[in-house]
Parts: sequence; structure tokens; C-alpha cells
Amino acid sequence: MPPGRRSRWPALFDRSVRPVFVLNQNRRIRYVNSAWETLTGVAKADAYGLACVRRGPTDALARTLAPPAEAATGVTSARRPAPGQSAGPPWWDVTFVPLVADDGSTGFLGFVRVVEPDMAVPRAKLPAAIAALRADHAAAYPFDLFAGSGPGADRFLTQLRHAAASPSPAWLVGERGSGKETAARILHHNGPNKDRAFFGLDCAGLQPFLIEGLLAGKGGLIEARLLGTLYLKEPAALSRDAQQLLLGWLDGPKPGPRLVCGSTRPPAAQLADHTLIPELFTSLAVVELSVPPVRDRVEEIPRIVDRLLARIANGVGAPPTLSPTAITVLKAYRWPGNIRELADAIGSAVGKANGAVVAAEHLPRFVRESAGIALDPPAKPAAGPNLDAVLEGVEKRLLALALSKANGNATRAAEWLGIPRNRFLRRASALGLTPAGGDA
Amino acid sequence: MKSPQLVVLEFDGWLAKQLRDLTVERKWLLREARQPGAAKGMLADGRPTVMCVLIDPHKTPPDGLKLLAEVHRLRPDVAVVAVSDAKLPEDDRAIWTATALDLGARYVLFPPLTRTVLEDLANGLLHATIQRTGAVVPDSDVIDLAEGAP
Repeated sequence: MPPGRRSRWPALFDRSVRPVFVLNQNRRIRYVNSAWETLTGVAKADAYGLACVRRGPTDALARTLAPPAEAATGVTSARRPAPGQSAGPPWWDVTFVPLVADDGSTGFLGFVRVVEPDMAVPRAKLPAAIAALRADHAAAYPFDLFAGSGPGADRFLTQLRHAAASPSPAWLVGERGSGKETAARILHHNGPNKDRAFFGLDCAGLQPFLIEGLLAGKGGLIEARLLGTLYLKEPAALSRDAQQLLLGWLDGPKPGPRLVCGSTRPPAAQLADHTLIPELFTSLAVVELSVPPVRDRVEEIPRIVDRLLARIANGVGAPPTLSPTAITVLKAYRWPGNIRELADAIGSAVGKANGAVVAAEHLPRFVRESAGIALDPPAKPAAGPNLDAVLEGVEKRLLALALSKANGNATRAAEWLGIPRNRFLRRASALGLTPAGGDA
Repeated sequence: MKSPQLVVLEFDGWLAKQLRDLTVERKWLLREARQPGAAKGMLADGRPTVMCVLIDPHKTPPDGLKLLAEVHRLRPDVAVVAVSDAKLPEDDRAIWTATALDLGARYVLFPPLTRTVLEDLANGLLHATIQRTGAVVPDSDVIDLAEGAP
């Protein structure tokens, strides 16, 4: 340790989320960190000097933290009932690292890990076929799904790996269809709670009484402690009262499920416009990850497409293939609907190719137009009403109606129509409509 | 525009009967299947979809749960409601609920099954799916094509 830095190690331990303590050669506490204080409920000032021995008139905490005799010879772990419990659960796994001084006397650096009973979905109660189905399903969510060669992809993957290792709440922000729920599944199936269940809660689609029926109360999933991760899709879609209720339900037995949220807008923006209550923001927006849109992952499109094709084949026969020109066309489009839109386009193109190699002409026209290679011949004048012209007229009127309802604001008009803003702007521009006030 | 749809996989038509009025009122398609393969085929045209699947926890092989997992991987935008008419003890019900959710169900229902709850679920989930996928669905605003015509 460099001279002058001797006093910095307590600060290092203080930042640790794991409870740490140091015993001197007389087994008396010389240091505890903040996590230790939180766990035991004992203040540092009261803890210092406490003799941690297993015999004599000592209190339960001191007995739990007492190093066993063999600890002096090397790193030793002991599982003990938590202080005040005659038997677990919960237990404490206490690890003792001997600190030997020049004179041979031994102190200890100790770490505590709280061990809760394994509340995984009991495999004994599930038939083997269903346990295998769960294992297969979990295996479909490796980190590789977000692997890529660009710096953005690298950064997101690193963040995802770090977030998976921690039980802290995480908030995934990304455009529609960018794969927020997939990222949440990756966090779950590669994290510490993977033996328990993942639940993607559609906050916009379920009324509070339905959510309550599933999660809260006796027999609810929270009390049964069967949930490993609760993924809240757009929690700000819940009313403020419902958000408050949700917080109350989640404040149940510990440890509860890991909480992961997904939204198209950052949580701070939702807090600012009062759609998200401050308590939910504080509890859930601990780690924020931005899921990159497809247009920022253009170089990864071939790999993403390969995965989508393999998914379409679903293990039956060889997956369909795409021609190099088709890949070039796919890379030229901006994919405002992200992976979801890409998957739809690939699915439809595979259907049109009917078993042959998927070529550029099998891709949707709007995708080919973006690459400047729309190959369809111009429509011949029809004898009756021209369907394209009629549909275009309807679309134009609908966009104009939306703009008028939104006072010319394209973002609100797109929301009213339920389409991404980029798509709205693209179509409005093509149809000669201009949103007002610099919103475009 | 493709109309949203409710796909129901069951063996006796009871679930579809409970949801028929809702789909008529909302002008959604109601499509019934008796086999998992047929139900999967109904998702091919990319409509905004909610699927209600009747599952029997004790059936081997677990076709309903297998379909649920498959739909979640192939079409994650499709909201699947797993419905069971098996009367189970509370603990078992919680375990099966957790299992179905883990495989991708958006909601799990055990008896008592009521028409109101089924309608609330299907209605809420399909509206959310339409919003999320950006599908354009006609509402009460009438677009008069003649207005403003030369």
C-alpha cells in the first residue's frame, strides 16, 4: 500500500454492499462497514470492542461472528443461524480470512452473506418434461443476443453483464421493439435469481385488480416467493394510485423478486411530467441501461437476421437464407420499429420466397424504397377506383386529423395514432403534410 | 390495416363463447383452434394478437405450455393468457402460475373463471398490444373521404 494511503481501506470497504468486519487478535471488533451496520442494526460505535467468542456470557451476534478454531490456519467459512434464531433460515455464511501479524498473533477479516432458503419453483412438483421446457426456454436468452462489433454494442453488453450479476433494480430504456424485454430476460436467466420465475407484467394492459390478484395477498406470487424477476413494462402507464399500491405489494417478504423496468422514455423524464411517482423512481431507477436501436447496430443486422431466420426455422430443417443484396437493402433502412419491425419484414419475405433464397424483391416495398431499389413496376391505371389512391387518401386524412387533434404536434399526433413518431413524420412528409412549430 | 384478433386454443368452445360479445363489439377477429399447430398458424399474418390457451397442468406432453413458450420466442409481441380449469391447492396453483409466467404467459387464470375477468384481460392486453406495435385501428372518428374533395 503506498505511504499516506493507509487510511483509505475503510472507505473502500464502506462502499461494499457486502457486510465486512475486522477482529483483532483478542477477537474484538475493530472495524465494521456500513453494510454490516445495516444488516445487524448495530451502530459502529456500539460494535467496536465487542468480543466475538462462542463461549461465556456473550450475545447472539458475538457468537455468530466468532471465528472457529480452524480459522487461524486458513480461510474458513461457517454457516450459522442468523443472530436471534435458534435455527435457520435465514442463515449467515460467515467467511474468516486470517490476518497474521509479525509476532504470530492472528486477527480476522470477516465477510457475511445472508442465505435465504431456496425458493426456486420446486422441481419435484413439476413433471420432468416441464422442467426441461423451462431449461430450454432459459437457454434461449444468452448474452450473445446483444453481442456486436461496434463500441455501442460492446458498452451495452458490458453493462448488461454487470447488471446481471447484481440483484439491484434496473431500468431499461429503449425505443419500441428494441428488445427491452429480451434484455430483461437475459438479466434474469443469467442472474442470481434464475431458478425462480420471470414475470413480464404488462402495466398498460392489466387493470390494478388483475395485478393484485396475481401478485398480492395470501397465495400471491410475492408471498409465495416464486418470482425471481418482476419485469414492469411501462410502469408509468399505471395510475399514480396503482403505482403506490404496487410499491406496497412489493414491500413484502424479503428477499422479494428483482425488479426490472422497461420504458420508451427515461424514468427521469416520466418523473418530471408526473406520470411516475417519486417513490417508484427512487426504488427502481437504480441502474439505467439504454437499449440501442437497430439503426445504431447496422453492422450487426446480418447476425440479427441469422438469428431471426433460425427462429423461423425453429429447429426444423435448415434455416432460410438471404441474398447479399437483400442484406444490403436491410442495412439501408432505418428500422423505426426496430427488431420487431425487422422480424415482421423477414417473416413476410420468407413467406414470399416460398423456400427459395430470400432476395431483395421479397422484402417489403418501403424497405426497398429506402435503398433506392423499389423494383415493383408502377401501377397500371385501373379501370375502376384505384385502391392505392383511395388508401393514400384515407391515410392522408387520418394523419391530418391526428395533426389537427394534436394542434400540429407530430409527437402527440403519432401517439394518438399509435405509431412511432419517425413513421408518422415519414408518411406525413411523403403525403405533403407539415407538422407545425418545429416539432418535426 | 389488419384487424386485431383474439386466438383461442381450447377443446370445447367455452372460452370463445365468453369472448364473442367483446370481439363483436370491438370489431376484432375471434379465431378458434383445437390444435396448437393451427393456433400457431393463425399468428402468421402479423396481426396484433392476444391468445388464450387452455392448459392442463397434468397433461403429458405439455402441449399448451410448449405452445406458450414457442409463441413467446417466435412472436414476443403476442400476449398469451394461460387458462386452466383444473382446481388445484393454493400452493400448486402458485407453482403452475409461476411456471406459465416464466414460459412467457402475460397472465394465468385458474377457477373460478368469470366472463368479466376474461373480457377485462383480453380487452386490456389487446389494447396494449395495439399501442405497442403501432397498429392503426379505426375508432369512432369518421373519416369522410368526400370532405374537401374537388
